[in-house]
Amino acid sequence: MTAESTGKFRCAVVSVVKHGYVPRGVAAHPRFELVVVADDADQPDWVHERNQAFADEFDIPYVKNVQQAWQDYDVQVAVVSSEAERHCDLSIRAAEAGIHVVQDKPMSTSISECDRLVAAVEQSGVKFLMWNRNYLPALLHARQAIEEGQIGQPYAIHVDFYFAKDSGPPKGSRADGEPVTSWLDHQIAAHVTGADGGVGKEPMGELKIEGIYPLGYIQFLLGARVQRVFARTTAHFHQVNVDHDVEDLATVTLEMEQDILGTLCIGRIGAASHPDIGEIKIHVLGTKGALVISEARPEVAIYYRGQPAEEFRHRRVGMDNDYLLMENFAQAIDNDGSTVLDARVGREISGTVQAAIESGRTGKPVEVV
Amino acid sequence: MVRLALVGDGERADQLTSLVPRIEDAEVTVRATSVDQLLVDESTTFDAAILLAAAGAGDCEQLAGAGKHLLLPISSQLSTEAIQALGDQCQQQGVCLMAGGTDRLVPALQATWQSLAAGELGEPGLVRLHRWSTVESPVTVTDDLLRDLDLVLNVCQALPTDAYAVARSVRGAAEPDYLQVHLGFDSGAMALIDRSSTLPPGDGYFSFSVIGSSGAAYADDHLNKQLVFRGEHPVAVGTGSDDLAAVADIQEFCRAIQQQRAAVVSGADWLAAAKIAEAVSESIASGSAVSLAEGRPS
Repeated sequence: MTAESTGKFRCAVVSVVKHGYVPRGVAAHPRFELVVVADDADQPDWVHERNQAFADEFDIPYVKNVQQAWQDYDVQVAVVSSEAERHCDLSIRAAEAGIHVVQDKPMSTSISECDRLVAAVEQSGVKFLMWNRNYLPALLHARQAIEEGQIGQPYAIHVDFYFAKDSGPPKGSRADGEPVTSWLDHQIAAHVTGADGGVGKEPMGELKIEGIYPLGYIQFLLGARVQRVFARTTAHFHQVNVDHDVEDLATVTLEMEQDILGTLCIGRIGAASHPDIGEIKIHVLGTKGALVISEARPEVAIYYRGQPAEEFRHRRVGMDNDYLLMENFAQAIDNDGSTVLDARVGREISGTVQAAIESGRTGKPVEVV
Repeated sequence: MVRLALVGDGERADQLTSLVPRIEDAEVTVRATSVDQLLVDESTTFDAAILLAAAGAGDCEQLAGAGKHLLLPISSQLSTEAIQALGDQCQQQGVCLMAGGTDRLVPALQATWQSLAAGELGEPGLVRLHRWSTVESPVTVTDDLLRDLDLVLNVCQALPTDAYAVARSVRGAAEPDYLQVHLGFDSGAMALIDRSSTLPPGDGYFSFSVIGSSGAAYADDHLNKQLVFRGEHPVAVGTGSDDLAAVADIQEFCRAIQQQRAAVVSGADWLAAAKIAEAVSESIASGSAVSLAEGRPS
């Protein structure tokens, strides 16, 4: 489908159970108009409540029938931001209906679902964008430097992706005999702080929840596929991760195409560990030089009397990621091009994450499939 | 007063000689260009020897055998067996053996150790270290790795359970000039080290961060640069503290002698790092993770 008549794309928000950064990002571009929120009728009450709240905020209808909403509102783009385990199913249904898809991370909790999504997207010919942060100013600068050959041929890349957020009580805080909170209940409760990136029934560690971002950076900057990984994983910070046996800290050695090496450090390291959202850095080594990039920059430091303890002291500025992602998506639709993080790349990244989790479990290097 | 003999020559020897007056209860009483010369001509004029360059086992044994305390750069020139033997000999002779030049006492890392010791960071979960040097001062990355392993060990206070490492020869030399090391510890802690010696001529880069269960420390050259404008893009310039680290090394050596205790970086610390370096080499060769049983590759 194209935006033939108005130049605008009519978008359905297909479930919005997190804090809505994806549909808000979509709406940042003037060519994308949110026209309806939709979900399946058999979803639990908390899902309907969040969908309704988002619809009310944007003054658009909420329809408890996805297919009906697509037809009634002449939808061209589906913006999928449901629980993780529903991502692929909703995206596949959209693709099969000939609707372009912008999807929240993670791609899925299962590799087979990712494969099904790639097939659906490629068979239908629709455009697919995994939400990402590749157009942050620091990333664009790094890519430009690499493309201009300023550091020669890149041969190694290292990404630190630490979120300085808490995820409930610290490790060791649950008393013997105290019941374990279900993963879903924990995530639903975390909505108020925005720390519900792992929302869904299936427990997920940081590699699954956030891994698309740093691995997306590597793909964006170097275009090299990861072939082999060696990983260490642990639940070091939060009781909920211990209880559900999913990591909140991981390190991964990456062996990539073109003989490129790399590492990834990823973790939800607790709010006390950084004054802002977390230390997020990229190191690239090339044959003629190197780059050390802080993902947060440019930023402005703001301090004032009475400042809430949880408020970031450094505020990012010059952020145009939302607009640029959607411009990329619009261009892909208009020109039948590819998006900056399409379904196939998303699947490759999911494969890397899966291999890292397996390596962390076995203590052995694992080939990425 | 600790009477120091400085073994070595060139600018570095002059520089260290000029720094020693800053150190309490220590003086340089003799300078020599070799251990043989020192022991033949000056054996009664000094208590402790500072070797500026990595030394062979023979020189070390001679000095320890003569009852001289010994500060020398940590290096892989000695095998683990030789380090073990030297440590044993020093213990029997009642002399202090300190591995120097480890970065353990550089100002930024001293702040990190203090925070760790105070419990501010909680239980260490991750140590991340980047060290990049330049082609004009080439180092064999595996040779100089001991410095970095020592820093990791000082955080984790235990030997790792396994090591996985990959290396590349980016510039086509026989020895790798790029290395990544991935360590795991029984506590669940982990460490990543990457070392490169491919930067163009100029400054190197060092970054060391510790992520603990209740806090984190980031000692990063990136955060400690000043800007110099001289046309086009500004240049980022570091503020050096090399002298302070060298002074701290010698000060610690002298205090350990005076207090008759082990130095901060002891022979045992050197040996621990060397054992892991062996596992790193084995992992590079085999392409697999190497398990360390009681600190030895197995």
